Amino acid sequence: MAFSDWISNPNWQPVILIEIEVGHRIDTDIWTQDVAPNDSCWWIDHSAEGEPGRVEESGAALDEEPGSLGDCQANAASWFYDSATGRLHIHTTGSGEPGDSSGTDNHIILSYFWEYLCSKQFQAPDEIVFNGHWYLPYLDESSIPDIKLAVSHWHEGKSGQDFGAVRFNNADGHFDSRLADYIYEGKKLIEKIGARGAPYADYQTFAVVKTGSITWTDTEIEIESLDLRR
Amino acid sequence: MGKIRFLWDNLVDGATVTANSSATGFPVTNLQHPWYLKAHRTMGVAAEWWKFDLGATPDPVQYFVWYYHNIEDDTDTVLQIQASNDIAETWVDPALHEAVTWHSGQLIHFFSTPKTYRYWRFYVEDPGNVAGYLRCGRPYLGSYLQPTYNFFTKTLRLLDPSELVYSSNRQMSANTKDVYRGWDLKFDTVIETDRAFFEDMFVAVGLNFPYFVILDSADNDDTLYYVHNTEPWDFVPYVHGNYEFSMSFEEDA
Repeated sequence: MAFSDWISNPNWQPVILIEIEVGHRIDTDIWTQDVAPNDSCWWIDHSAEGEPGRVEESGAALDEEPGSLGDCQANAASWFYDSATGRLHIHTTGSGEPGDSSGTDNHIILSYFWEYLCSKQFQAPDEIVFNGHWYLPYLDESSIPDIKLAVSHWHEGKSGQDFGAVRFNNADGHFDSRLADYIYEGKKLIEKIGARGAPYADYQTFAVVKTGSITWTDTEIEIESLDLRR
Repeated sequence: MGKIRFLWDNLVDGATVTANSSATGFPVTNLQHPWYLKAHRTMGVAAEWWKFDLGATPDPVQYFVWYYHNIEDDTDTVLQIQASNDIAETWVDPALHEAVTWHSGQLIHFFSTPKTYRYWRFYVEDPGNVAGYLRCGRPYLGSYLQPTYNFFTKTLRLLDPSELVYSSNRQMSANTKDVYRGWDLKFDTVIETDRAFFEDMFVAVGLNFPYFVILDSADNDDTLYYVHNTEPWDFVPYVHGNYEFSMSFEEDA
């Protein structure tokens, strides 16, 4: 169903989705070397974050080897995620330990994964579950800002988009440990809107922005959203 | 009609919980989250189990609840609650094993005498389940609080949180939300012993933590709700050291 069809229905029950690509610095974690013959690979438990969307070594993307740990062993500068064990295996460019900060294999390694949030949840069959992700209902939908276009000085007189900030409930402390462990600043944030019961493909993306500064209190966090070109 | 029962001291929350399978994105730790919609899902349906290790000094259990499930009532569905004190239990013939009666939305099993075991397991076979997975939103293992004297009046409220705005001549425009239930109970006689039990309960759940309530213990299956308190509790001294007491709660989302 098209967005125009939804909004012509007085009871369409809008649902807003927020998807943030969160960064996680992992070179400082405790790594375990895989056993031979895959001993050029090292692993950490990545089950809490799930499968990464990408992994970077000192700013350069490592290749995903989705097939097997053996493929990761065969190719330097690659990674493999084992969904059965929740382990993220990495084969660094120099085949050294990812956490080694003393030698030539001195890396900053980041994994990126998506966090899925929404404005409300429902009972089955309308539960907000897309692509195996149960969206966390922390978004304060009243915080969704108007989208503005404004002439901006920073971009040679061209127009820039101003999105304001989005706010999430944090009274139960969900974001406390996450903001301590993960990197939310400067990350892609996608905002979508759809109707209760609609499939994911029918959701309309109304903003793709970059996260800016974060205000963090006991009851809520507010994330500034910026034009992607910044 | 039976007396009201409060199932608030949930031993699941302090237990080590495992399952024989978990779908990606639906970990077994979801069973310990107070949002029942944040559920656990298995990978299969043919022979699934969940195990709860209550620790070295387990408290007694009289109620087992399996809330927001999708188990189907088929001829080949098997539901069994099991318990043992043996860490090496094979679950072939555990010390306690009783069939659980199927009910839509929620399963409830009552033990008329308290059962004290360290390891509890819920075993399910539902091979015809069309979803291809088994879901549970919130389990309960534990005892219950039943006051000596039942409530005097019970008022059911149906609540609609929809946002309504009106034109100048009252044509309504509604942002529709789901209707839910709330209850106001009045107890005209609460004895001191029960008041102390209620106080223990309120200290634990306050206004911020959901619990199960069975409004009529003669009809467990149809009167169990997952609720949270909406008002502070006042115990007003009455006669002979007893109290009058009112409480309000509403369905949790």
